[in-house]
Amino acid sequence: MDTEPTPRSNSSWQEITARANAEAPPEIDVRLAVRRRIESELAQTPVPAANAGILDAIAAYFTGIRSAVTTFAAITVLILLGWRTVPLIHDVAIAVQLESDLLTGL
Amino acid sequence: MSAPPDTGLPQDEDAPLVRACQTGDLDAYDRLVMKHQPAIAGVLFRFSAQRADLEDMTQETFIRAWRALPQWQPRKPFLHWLKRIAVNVALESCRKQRRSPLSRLVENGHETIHLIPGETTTTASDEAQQILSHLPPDQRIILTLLHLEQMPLAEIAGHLGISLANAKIKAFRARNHLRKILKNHGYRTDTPL
Repeated sequence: MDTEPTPRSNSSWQEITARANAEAPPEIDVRLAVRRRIESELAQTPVPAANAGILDAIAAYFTGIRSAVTTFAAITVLILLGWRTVPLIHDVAIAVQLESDLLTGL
Repeated sequence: MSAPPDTGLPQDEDAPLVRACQTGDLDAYDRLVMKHQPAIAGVLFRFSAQRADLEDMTQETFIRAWRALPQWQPRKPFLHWLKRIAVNVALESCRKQRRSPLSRLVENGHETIHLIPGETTTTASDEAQQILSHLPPDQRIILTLLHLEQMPLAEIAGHLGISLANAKIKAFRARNHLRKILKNHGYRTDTPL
């Protein structure tokens, strides 16, 4: 009887995976470690719950300022565009008027 | 007793516990960890060479899940969501292993060197991991989940955040790559992968 073990390199991938699938993972318990890490993270959280409302209000205030600045910038751009566009419209209107006058023989 | 109203969504039995966790209930999270750690360890076992690695990766999965709990939606089962996080943890671990000087020695043809010093391949899982460690991380993940975890390709695609077509292409390339590795290392390649 052949008692020599089959060399590993003579296995096929299917045989290796079949054997591997039959192996169960070791039993582990990470519950305590996870709990400790979460508690540690919560303890390091810089914003205590009681002060969260005040900080939120400050953040909202600055958000409001940023929003106002953005609106102001947008209005400024529109005014500048308008400043450049109004004379152009005026010129076009005069040209149309002149052409109309020529056509009517005035 | 009246049945819960049919919302058209599959009822996840973990949903009440997850909602409790979302309000900061650590005891509820303890129960979720206890319940799902065997399943998560089952997935990560295929990517860890040592027990300590398995514990670290399982722990990391549950920590990331805790941080991401506000984003959890009851559309998919909690375990499915958890497995997706575990797959990402495994992928990062594969990338780190790939970048380590030891794994580069293996790539350069020193096949007798084991990935973890002092560890020898005593189980088929170890042997499979050693073979798969020669593949790029994304190919390794796909073949590990496909062949060792026997996960459907559609589910793998979902966990990796790629399309099914993309997963099929990656799996095809990974099989070709694996075939070459097996041949180079003297394994039998007469059976289909």
